[in-house]
Amino acid sequence: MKYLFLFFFLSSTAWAESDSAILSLEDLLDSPLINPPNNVDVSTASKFSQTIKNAPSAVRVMSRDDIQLFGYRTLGEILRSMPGLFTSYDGQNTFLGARGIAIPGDFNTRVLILIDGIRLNNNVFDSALVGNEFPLDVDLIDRVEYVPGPGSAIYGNNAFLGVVNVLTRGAASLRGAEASLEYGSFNTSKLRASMASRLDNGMEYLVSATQFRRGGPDHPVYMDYAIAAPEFKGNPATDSDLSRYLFAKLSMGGLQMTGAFASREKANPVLIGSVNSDESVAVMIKNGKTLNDSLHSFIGLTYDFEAFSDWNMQARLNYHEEEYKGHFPEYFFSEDLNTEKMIVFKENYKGRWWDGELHALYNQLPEHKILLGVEGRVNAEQFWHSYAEGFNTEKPMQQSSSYYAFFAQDEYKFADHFTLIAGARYDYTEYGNHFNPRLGLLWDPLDKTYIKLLYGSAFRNPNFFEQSQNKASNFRDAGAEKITTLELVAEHYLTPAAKLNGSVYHYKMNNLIGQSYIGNNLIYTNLQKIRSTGFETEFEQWFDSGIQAKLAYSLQKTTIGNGTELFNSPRHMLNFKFLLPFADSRWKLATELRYLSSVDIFYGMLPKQWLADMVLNGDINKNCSLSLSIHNLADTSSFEATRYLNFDRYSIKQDGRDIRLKINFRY
Amino acid sequence: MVKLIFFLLSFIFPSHVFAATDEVELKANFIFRFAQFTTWPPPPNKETLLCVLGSRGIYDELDKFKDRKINGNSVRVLNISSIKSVADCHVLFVGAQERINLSMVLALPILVIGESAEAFDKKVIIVLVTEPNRISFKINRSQASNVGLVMSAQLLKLAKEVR
Repeated sequence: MKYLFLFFFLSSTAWAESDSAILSLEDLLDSPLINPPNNVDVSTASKFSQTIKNAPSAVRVMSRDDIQLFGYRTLGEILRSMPGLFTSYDGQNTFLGARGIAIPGDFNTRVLILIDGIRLNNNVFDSALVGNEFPLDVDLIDRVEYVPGPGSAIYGNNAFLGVVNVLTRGAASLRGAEASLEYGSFNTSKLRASMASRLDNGMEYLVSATQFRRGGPDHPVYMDYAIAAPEFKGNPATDSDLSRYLFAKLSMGGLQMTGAFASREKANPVLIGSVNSDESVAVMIKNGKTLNDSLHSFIGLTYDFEAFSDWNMQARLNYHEEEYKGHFPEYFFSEDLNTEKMIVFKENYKGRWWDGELHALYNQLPEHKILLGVEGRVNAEQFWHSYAEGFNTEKPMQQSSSYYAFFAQDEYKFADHFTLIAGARYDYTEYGNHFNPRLGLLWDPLDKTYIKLLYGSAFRNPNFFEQSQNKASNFRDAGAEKITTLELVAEHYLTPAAKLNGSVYHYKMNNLIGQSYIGNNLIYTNLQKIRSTGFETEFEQWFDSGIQAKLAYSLQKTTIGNGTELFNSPRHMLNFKFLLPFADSRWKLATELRYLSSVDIFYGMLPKQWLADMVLNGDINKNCSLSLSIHNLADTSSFEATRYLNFDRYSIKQDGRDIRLKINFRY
Repeated sequence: MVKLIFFLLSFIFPSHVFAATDEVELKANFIFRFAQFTTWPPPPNKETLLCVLGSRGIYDELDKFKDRKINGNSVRVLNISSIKSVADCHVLFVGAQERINLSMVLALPILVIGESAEAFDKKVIIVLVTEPNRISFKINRSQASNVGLVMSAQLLKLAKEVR
């Protein structure tokens, strides 16, 4: 018996408790598996739990174990390690690109992001960002499910390229209280305190508070001018970040309340320079103390109950508030550069909205699983204002709006090893009504193999910001975006410890919305037809000694119009992860290597890049663990695309090597 | 001083080292623990009967516990082929592949354990959940109390979800 062998190595004190030739429940919960399991349940693809092989998508799951072991510090870092996803950081925000689509100027509008099923994409930009802007500390994530492909058939707007659901930890995972301290490069520190428990009466709670502070590089490397800047006196650009996160969950007998509050104060290090040659006056712009303050909070109620004895129902009601205030001092110079004048530009937005949903799952009909639901949103406030302080020229834009939708899906096991999934959603919106069907044919001939053939569709309406920009320029609104896709997914276990999966897809996108200019005015127009064809594969092997290796590769080609390659769309991406336990598995060394091929941005190219991260994790004892993570191990210089067309620089140099030490205590 | 030495020793010889485990073996361990943490309305008087339906692997692993005791009672592990022969079982494990109608067992004071999301929707009392790297479990507490089973506080505390 393997466990006898194990006892031999354990100090006698550990097993003072009697009757323990088998492990305690806690120890069983902490026991890792030998092989990658093939029956993991996911709940995002269909809004109910199902095994991965029954989900109508090539679902990817990242568990808390891997998030810790690989030292991911933001949701963006978690996501970019998955096939087909990449991120760009512009000194302020982190944007997500999926399967070749990352159009500068959109604020993550095409991937729907959820926390425990609660939609985060806001009602001004349609955005949910994945860097420190994300309103939840990564340490509270139990798992991340990424459902690639269009999800409008059950999620509607924004589920255009995929859905990301961030599921939070509960009392069973926290088991008491935790405190975590981090310190690292660029004067970065993070403090977190969390507490959770399930009481004897069945009530469960979790509360957590985090403060993150980052001084940033002494001389932010991002700042640059298209044209050499004269020496300025005064403020150097800064790159600081102060983010605070509060999160709480309370549940009792099917009813759950979730609340989050996040605030961020970010100094923007990007300097913009331009020359207005028409008027033969040199205009230089310097961002001295560019500050961006944002607040994001939501509170949600979810109620799981049973109706008519056989229907599993879920009702949700959420209220969100999001606010942003940008402050951009810009310096204008006279022709001889002797006098400077400062004008402060302000950018404010605010969104308040309610969303609600009621869905029912019926699985009493043999071989059928039927999902029916309604969902709606009321945008109580959508506000956007951009102006120069002291100049009363620009009016604020504001409105309120709403939408509602119906959806239905059936999972029908029509023969042994065959399942058909058919679903559709009808959305009534201010930009017309949208019908989005999806179909999946799933075949699992053997325990170790499955194949899925999927058809999907999705839409995205122009968001309030895009509408407002066009209104301000008296330009007509852009139309809604549409996508239809075809995808073939397969997975096969070569041995119980070696898993290979792959996916081939073809996307057709009409009317994607992108930036353009009329004179100096930014407007949003529908782009020409975009097509994307790609292939993603992942090979994972676990070894006896606890060594794990995972290789992911994505290849894609995305073209616009008659075949021009789309900008900011990396052709090849590679991700290699290697986990090496040592000293009786008490210590683990995790290494990740990432490759992105060169990409075209508007005016120029970003060179191909190889980046390596390394993390050492150790359990000092049952209650204390350590992790030392080094991001960008080789201190490679790398660039990522910016978001605006009107930047003089279309890419921004990223921070170099970034070391962080983290200590986690558990009580 | 002794405390300090002990503290330092605990760094060098951590008390918790987890060996990676086969999924089936781990699940069998969980099932045995669940039985230990459950109280039946009339407690088993001589032996606790653990039944397995539709999973040979779980049966083989669980059978290794036959020489152990659950709350002083001896243990018998039974591989059953039909839902009709469950009347005397105290624990019934139903494999994920087994697509039978559970409605007749759900009224009996049997600790029904499943391993699929469907099983949890169909009112199995405990469901084992396969996570990407480990196993966790969910409890349907109201179903347990409907049939008179009492789950220990320890079990309820460690469940991923209690319904």
